[in-house]
Amino acid sequence: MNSAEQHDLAKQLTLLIGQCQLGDRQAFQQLYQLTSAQLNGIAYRITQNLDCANEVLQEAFIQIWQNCHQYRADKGEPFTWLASIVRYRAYDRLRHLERRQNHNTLTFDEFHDSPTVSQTAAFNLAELDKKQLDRCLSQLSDHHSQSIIMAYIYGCSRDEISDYFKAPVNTIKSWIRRGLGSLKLCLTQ
Amino acid sequence: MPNSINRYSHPAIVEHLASNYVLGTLTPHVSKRVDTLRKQVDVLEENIHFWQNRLIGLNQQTQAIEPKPQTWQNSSEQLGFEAPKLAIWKRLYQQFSQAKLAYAFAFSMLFIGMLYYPQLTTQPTSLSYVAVLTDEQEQAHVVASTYGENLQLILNIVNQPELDTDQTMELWAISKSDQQARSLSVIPQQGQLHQILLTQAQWRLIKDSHSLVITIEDEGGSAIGEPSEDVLSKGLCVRLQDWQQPS
Repeated sequence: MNSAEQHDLAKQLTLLIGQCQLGDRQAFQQLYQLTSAQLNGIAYRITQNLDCANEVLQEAFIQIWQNCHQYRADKGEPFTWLASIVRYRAYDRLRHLERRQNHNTLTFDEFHDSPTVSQTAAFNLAELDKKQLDRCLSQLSDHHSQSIIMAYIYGCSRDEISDYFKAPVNTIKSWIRRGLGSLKLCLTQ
Repeated sequence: MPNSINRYSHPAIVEHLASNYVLGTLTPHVSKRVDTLRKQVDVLEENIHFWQNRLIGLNQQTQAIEPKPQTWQNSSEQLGFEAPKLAIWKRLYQQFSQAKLAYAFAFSMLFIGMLYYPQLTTQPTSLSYVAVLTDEQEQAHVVASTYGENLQLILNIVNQPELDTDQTMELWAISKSDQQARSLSVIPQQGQLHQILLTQAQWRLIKDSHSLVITIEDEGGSAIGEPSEDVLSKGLCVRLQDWQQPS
């Protein structure tokens, strides 16, 4: 998808959310049809369970409809808003169930761009922003960047990251804090 | 601006809360707190947007997965867009509000607790005060009860919250007469049922209390004798009429 198409899609999503704010159920259904597969993928990546991902998606779309008036186009892209709601719901679900017995089977190397991973994402971040994020992440130490990615993409708690690295939880807290600090510095330069 | 909100406008605290909220590494309780605070503290909301907008790129390689058809069906039924096709018992079940269910569940837990922990519940007299403390989502957290005037408080933890190792739950009585919060006890981290022996002064606090509140404090309890603004749950303290012994 080129940047013009990307822009059109973002505009379409913004418009649909605006119509939802007016109570338009058809717009809501269209929003679901356009975004649910991508959002379900995000939920699945965190929960690692298809049924759970579908339940998270269901809860998230109920929240999206009920809170659609909270979306502010000047604060971020519509897909970012939708994805954030899904991610927070998925994190809640994980913490509530306190389950993830086989996190050691996950691979946490996706930060190092792999050309073999197919890009099915319909909503790509602007190339410039993505490059900047990659560049800034690559400047962090491996432990710092991997801890951030494990938490964000896979919903790993500090305890789980601590188990994975066989390092104390306080060390993980420190890695995340320092990693985020350096990341922010780099992203705002 | 209230003091509790002022505290959250400190740049380092805001940065920590916003970045870890977006990263998903806050405890469920703190995360819920941030859900509320972000609507009140602009700088927190701005920081959350910063991290959301910057980290979204990490989702770029996520594979799309078509949801099950039932997922849309369930969502639209729950939102009332389509009439649900439910069995009668399910409809009856849904007529109960979350709060009613929470209370019913809490009392069931209290009853079960009495059956399984008779050593804590062989009280010579009947229930005198009871409070069901619920969280922001109206989910039962703790049932607190006393029997007669025997200076014992029974706490039944219905839902054990996730706390950091350096945090403690503390129980407070809110006075009917001056609305001040006064500490009753720090709640042990482990175990579901707790028996707390009360002093005469604490017993008077309960008799005078309008409600009970549980907050999250630093390890060992509040150092300043006042509750923090991190309220876990609260509930009205109900006096049961028939416990009073004849004088």
